[in-house]
Amino acid sequence: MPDAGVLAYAFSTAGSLDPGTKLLDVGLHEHTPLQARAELLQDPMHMSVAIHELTHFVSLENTLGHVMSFLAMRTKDIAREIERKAASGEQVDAAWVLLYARRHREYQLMLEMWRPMLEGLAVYAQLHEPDPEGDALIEPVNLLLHFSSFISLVGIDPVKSGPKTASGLSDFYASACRAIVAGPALKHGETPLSLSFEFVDPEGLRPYFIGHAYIRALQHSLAAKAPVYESSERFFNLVIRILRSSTREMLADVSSWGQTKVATRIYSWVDIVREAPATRVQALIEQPDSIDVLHFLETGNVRVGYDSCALAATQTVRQIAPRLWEDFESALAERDLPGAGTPAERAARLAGAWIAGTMSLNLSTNGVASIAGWIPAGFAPLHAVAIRIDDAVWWAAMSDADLTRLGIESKGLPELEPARLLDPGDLAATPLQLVIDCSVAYAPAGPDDPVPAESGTVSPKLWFRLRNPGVPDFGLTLTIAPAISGVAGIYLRAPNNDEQQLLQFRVTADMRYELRDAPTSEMLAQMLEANDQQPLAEILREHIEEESLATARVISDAERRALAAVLGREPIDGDLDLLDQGIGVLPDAPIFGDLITAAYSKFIRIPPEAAASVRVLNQLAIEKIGKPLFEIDARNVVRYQGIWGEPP
Amino acid sequence: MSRIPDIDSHFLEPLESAMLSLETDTVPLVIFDGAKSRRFVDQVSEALHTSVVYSSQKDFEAQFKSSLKGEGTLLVLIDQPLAGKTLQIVNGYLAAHDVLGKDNSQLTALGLPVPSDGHRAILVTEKALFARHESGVQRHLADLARVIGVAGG
Repeated sequence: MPDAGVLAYAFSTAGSLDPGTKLLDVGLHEHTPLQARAELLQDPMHMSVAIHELTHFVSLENTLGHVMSFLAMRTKDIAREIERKAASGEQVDAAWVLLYARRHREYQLMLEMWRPMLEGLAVYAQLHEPDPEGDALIEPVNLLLHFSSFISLVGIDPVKSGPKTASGLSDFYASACRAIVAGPALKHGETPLSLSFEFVDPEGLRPYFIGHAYIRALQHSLAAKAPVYESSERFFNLVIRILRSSTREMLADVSSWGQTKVATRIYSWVDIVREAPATRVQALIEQPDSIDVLHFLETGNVRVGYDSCALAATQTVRQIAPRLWEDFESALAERDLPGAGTPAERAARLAGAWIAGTMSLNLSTNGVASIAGWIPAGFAPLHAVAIRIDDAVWWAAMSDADLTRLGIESKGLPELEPARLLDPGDLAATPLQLVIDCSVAYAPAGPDDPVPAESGTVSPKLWFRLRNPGVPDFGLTLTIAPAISGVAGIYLRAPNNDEQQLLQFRVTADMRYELRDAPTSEMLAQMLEANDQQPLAEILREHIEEESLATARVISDAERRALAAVLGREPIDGDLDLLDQGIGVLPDAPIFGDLITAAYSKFIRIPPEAAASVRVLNQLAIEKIGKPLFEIDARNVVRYQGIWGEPP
Repeated sequence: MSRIPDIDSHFLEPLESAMLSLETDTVPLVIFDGAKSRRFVDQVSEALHTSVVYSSQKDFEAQFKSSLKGEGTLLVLIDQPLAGKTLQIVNGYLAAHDVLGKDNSQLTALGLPVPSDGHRAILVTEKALFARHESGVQRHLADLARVIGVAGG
């Protein structure tokens, strides 16, 4: 299982996303992009897990994610430095150990404070009722569709691209919708997903259960005032918009991310909506994306909640975490780094690159890409290199220098006819094998780029990295280039003079893996012990213990705040059993397992005798938790509403 | 840097009473009736830099034990009727701060350390929940702690 520092998919070991580095693991390692796409298409469970983890990625493309990744970067960087000194037998400075412990604690507190919200939203993305006829997509599905459609088109003659375009979009979208519709019934072990967390079994599903109930309660309260948010897609994207536009304010002016007022800010959205006039909720849909949603709902005043340019993102991190920033600058000043600029300028540059770097998501890695041949100057002045990926041939534009750095001897390659660019046929692979990674990324806006008015997201891009396993430390970064009419289909080439985007990959790609794999606190304590620095190891262990207690307090607080929002009252006494048992607090609830799964996100009609049982259960639920578990009308049409519905 | 937090005006008087109680080394028991206890907790915990622990937390004993070693203030939110070990711990702590004679023996018998001189605790609960305690427990808590009521707001 991943460690506590990641947003792990608790239902199985199938997925995780590290909020610090935004590195994703959805089991698509050793996959080519085409294999990854095929895997997602064929396996609803895999698609469902991918949607869950991509929701985390999307949920962190905002100030919260930027602060979290910067904090993680600093923490893990310090860990690496302690590790380096301990490994080389040098005396480790006690101040570094204390700084590490403080930073690690803050990161952990921040993560646990937000975990129910983030996991709840990810579960919602897996289980909602999609509207294939609607005009909105949830953002994680949008990202996957970009991935699928571009992957489908690489190497295709534009004249013949129609069927592939349709397949890349519609087949994939249909598959995503099927996975979401099937979501409540998808089995993890022996139990359907919906029942796993409605009954909080196993215990690790607590944040999923209460977080998901909180998200549903939020939708309930929004839709009651603006029916447009009955649309799952509209609602989901509004939550993402709140995370973009309101987190700057939520994170501001706190001395610790674990303060109770932070929990109140995060888990008071439902109350804010309940107290807001309906006209304000209805006005949201027409507003520019950057308007601070929660502030508007609370006060009726319009103010900008974020600025999407990369420079502003860095400045915001600096404002929100000034002490963290100061010690980053101090650390840079102490290092003899190449390059010009004051420590402040360097800090801004490095933090900016890191934040931009974490805006990309590794979807598939280490897939086999075999060289099939080349056309010298096929993309004049660059060469066209044919790469066999599964049953497709992709073309990449490369310079002589690129070929050399990848360890490719062009003289030994089969030379191909230029006509092959449009019709490669069944080109045979040579023994020369590279590996290919594929990432999807949001490009950060530059200072002169217009701020998107209607949507905070810009179209994601696909990035590829070709590596030769025999040539370590080099990867050729490529992106998708448009087809050349009558000459070539869509192909891959290095981006043109876009240093900022290149930074995302060349500078930060390796750093992200290195930091993700940084030693844990316990590993550092063991290293210190092994290096005869027992007093420091003891200090660190004391801090680990203290962090563990502080984390438990934050988890308790966040869960109770979310429960308070769902129930509409301070949870006391018997209410708290919901956190342990979910709807298992009702002894008869397990009998309704099949109905809960079937009616999880949609209305279904049930026979009269079943309806009578549901009404009895509802009465028991009202007595126990103050609200019914099912919506049910006179025609015996029911929908499950768990603990998030309104009291009768 | 965090600014000095605002305290709602209707919390000033109970807060002042609580501070006075802390200064005289007695334990304030703040009971809310109709006022928003959460807002009080947010503001006071920020102003006094307290840790906040719920009596219903499974690791309540570990939290309390760890806190006793330090000199900070612990805000205990009573969200379940005190019973069993949790009640024993709270009683032991109240006995250790009894103005008529400090008695650390109950805490020691529970395997908990004697509170450090600078350690303070504030108990916070809702009136409805307080009323669910057995009358003997209510009376005992009210006798040993300094009860501060907060209504309306």
